[in-house]
Amino acid sequence: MYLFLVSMLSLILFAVGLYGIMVSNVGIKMLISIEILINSAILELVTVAVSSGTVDPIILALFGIAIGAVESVIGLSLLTATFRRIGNVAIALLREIKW
Amino acid sequence: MNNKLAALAAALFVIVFGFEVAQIKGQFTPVTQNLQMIGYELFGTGSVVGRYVVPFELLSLILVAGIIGMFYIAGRED
Repeated sequence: MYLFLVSMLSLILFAVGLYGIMVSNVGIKMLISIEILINSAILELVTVAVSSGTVDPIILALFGIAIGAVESVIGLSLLTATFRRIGNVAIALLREIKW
Repeated sequence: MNNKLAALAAALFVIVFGFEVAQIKGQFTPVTQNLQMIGYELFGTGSVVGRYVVPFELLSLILVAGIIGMFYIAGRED
């Protein structure tokens, strides 16, 4: 298999995440799209690591996984707080909130 | 955003970066990994400090800050 095909897969995954962010109005969908973005970057890092034999991209992928976990935790807590305040998780309504 | 415009933007993204990705040469042949090197790079060996010790510790700080922030934001009753 050609190397660029694997990289193209992660590029397409990244584009799917971008499309999801641009289209979605609901916070959960946006969080899932951001997770897709992060996972596409991790896939590319692992591809480089497996094909080159170096461990540096794997370590960066481990860091990316941890940062993705933090991002999803903070995003979900923000959505929970938003839902408590306005009873909805629509991102467009957030401009009405005085924090 | 309009769905068609978003799809167009995503397709343009794939096309523009796809040309760059298509320039990558070579076959995807998995190489045997030395998994011990991950531990060596992260934590070091004996007196030798690994290259990624400081980022690893900073990452733990980020994790703790995220957990504390999550409890603060989601646990607030008002």
